[in-house]
Amino acid sequence: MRGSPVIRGLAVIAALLLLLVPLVRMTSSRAAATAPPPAPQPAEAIPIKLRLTSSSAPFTFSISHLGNVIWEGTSSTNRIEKEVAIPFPGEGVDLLVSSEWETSGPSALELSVVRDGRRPAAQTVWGERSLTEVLTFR
Amino acid sequence: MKPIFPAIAAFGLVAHAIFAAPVKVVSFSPVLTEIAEAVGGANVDVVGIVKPGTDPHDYSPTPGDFREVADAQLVLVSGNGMERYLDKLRADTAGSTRLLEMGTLLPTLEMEEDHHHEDGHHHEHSSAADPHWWHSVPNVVQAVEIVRDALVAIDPSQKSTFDANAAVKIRQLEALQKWIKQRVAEIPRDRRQLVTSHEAFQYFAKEYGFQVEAVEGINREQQASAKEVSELIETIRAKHVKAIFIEDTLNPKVTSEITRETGVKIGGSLVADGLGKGDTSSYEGMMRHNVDTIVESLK
Ligand SMILES: [Zn+2]
Repeated sequence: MRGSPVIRGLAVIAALLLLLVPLVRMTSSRAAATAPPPAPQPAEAIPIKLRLTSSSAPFTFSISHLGNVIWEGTSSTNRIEKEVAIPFPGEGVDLLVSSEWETSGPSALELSVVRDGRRPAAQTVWGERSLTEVLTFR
Repeated sequence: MKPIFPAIAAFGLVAHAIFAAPVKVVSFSPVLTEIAEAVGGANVDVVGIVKPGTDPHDYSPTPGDFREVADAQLVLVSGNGMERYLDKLRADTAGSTRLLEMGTLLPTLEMEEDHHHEDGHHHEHSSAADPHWWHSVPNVVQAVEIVRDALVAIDPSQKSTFDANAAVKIRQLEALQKWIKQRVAEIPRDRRQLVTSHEAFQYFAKEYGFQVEAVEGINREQQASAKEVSELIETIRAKHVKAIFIEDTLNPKVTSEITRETGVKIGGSLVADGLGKGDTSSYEGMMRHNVDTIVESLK
């Protein structure tokens, strides 16, 4: 064989890379075909931060997940937050949010969900003196 | 000159009596019958042809039904292939009668091709549009508005009554929608799989966050093929389905094979078409029954 060792080395690497493409395709498609079904158990609980921002304070609130209250209380300030742990499957979670205000007229409540490494997701709901809404976060 | 005034007055009275006669509505959908009765109130005569407890897919109109249609001002059908006699109705109502095909006026979902049966089984739908629109409450709210507007167009003198009646019905539906969302929120979103024996729940699934898997070809009238049953078993296993919802007509042998092989529960029966009997003979009763049955089995 002739040519510089660098060029020869590069040629070998190129040949190997070309071989790799069909190999990866074969193994990955086989992996997909025989991949085990998704875990039967519900997704594991992960820590998430919930943040409530109300247009007026004080306000009383309750947040439920799958029929269980995960956070409730009365806040004298407009903003309050708490870390909870709930399963967060790819399909998302539904949170049932209730709130009550002493002030008359419409009040707004924003719920943000902050997960590690993801942008916070926030939704706002309105109510007069009280509200109960199901909010879906994905 | 003088005698003409009483004559005009008399004509006016007669004309008023004619126009004040109740509007006649004929409905081929039990859900639309309920809506027309609620919106129309006392001054609308609603003839419900397809009654709660009757499968609207199966219904064939009698000559008497067509006579009712003949003098109706408004005829309501589900549409989107639910009524196989629609062409005849269209021909019969071509004159002054208004035929309202509700499904075609609402956001429509397409039905999967395997819903159609080669053997001419009664669940065959004549078009690819899914006719089961009422399983989503927002669609029913829209249907109330459409019926209200149709009644106002026929008898504008009763606009305020129809508007007020429709507003009451819509408030009830909004409360129902809220209740459904709260109830469904008890099921983890990754467990919202709806395996049913009749593909009627696409609108429900889309509105309330479920995945649907219809299991046709295994009801009593048909021989389920071994392939169909094993495919279903595979699906139930792969998706970790907790419960399946089937009609009472499901072949008991097949049912026990499925439950034995997969450990899946039988989640009870859902009202798929039209309205049911007893507690499920009203729209709200039917929806509450379906939602309770689904939530209790999957949560
Ligand atoms: Zn159907």
